Amino acid sequence: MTNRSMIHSSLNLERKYAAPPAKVFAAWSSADALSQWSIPAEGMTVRYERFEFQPGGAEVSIFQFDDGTRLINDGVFADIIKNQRIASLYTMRDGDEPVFSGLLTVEFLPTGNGCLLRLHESGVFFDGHDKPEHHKLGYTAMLNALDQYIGA
Amino acid sequence: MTDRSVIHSTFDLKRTYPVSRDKVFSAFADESKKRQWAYGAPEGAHTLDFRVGGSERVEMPGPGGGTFKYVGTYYDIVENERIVYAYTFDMGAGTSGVTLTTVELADAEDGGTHLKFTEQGAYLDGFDGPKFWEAGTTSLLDRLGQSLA
Repeated sequence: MTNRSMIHSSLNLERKYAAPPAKVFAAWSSADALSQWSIPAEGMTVRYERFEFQPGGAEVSIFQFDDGTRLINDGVFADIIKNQRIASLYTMRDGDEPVFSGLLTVEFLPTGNGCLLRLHESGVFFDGHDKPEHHKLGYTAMLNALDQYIGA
Repeated sequence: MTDRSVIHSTFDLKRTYPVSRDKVFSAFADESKKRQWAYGAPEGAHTLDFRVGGSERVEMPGPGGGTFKYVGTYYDIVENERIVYAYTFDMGAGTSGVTLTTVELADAEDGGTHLKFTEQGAYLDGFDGPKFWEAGTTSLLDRLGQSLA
């Protein structure tokens, strides 16, 4: 019997990259690129089943953890402004059980010769399956990996 | 040239209605009930497919002469307990906001229901979501209360 609860939480992260907004935006614009750098934790893989990069387009990915757990991330691109902004909505599930529903906005702002990336996630954590702290750690790791991916 | 910006805001509204949880839940789940209290819309302007993965769509004349469009998707439904959905809305000039909403229902004394309505939103390109959307949602829940009386 599931102990039902909902925790609402938000996080904000900023990171500067020594590449123009278009280059940073490009790393968010393809399933191939994302599957290389957008890994929240070691030992995990992210694989895309659907990636329709346009407003209203579907985004469905599988998060595989090193202990064998598999979460499906099922969402939609709500708004895309090329080289400037991406907004998405999504729910992560473990089978039929919802784990997390979220709203993500990423802004790509020019700064000198580089890019200031501003990331915000708001969401609902269901029934104790996941925690806000995991998302903060996960996004921090991803934004670090993104730096290496762009620089490579 | 549009000035690009994003504002984020979370708010929650609480109400107590003098009817049982299943009646409040039904107001959200039933297409013609929802159409009346939420939008006051004519048939044809609104469709509701109330299931996980289903959508709600509204298209009607908006304030200021444009067309108001709303597209919502249901993420989680627990009968008489909780509803979670996400939506985009457009006030007539392109996507104005992206929001995640949760509705929680709990028993109140004397057979009534406590409702907690939480919205986490991102409002785009100058739309003053924190001001307009919260006021709009407050009116929405007042109309729900009137429909249940």
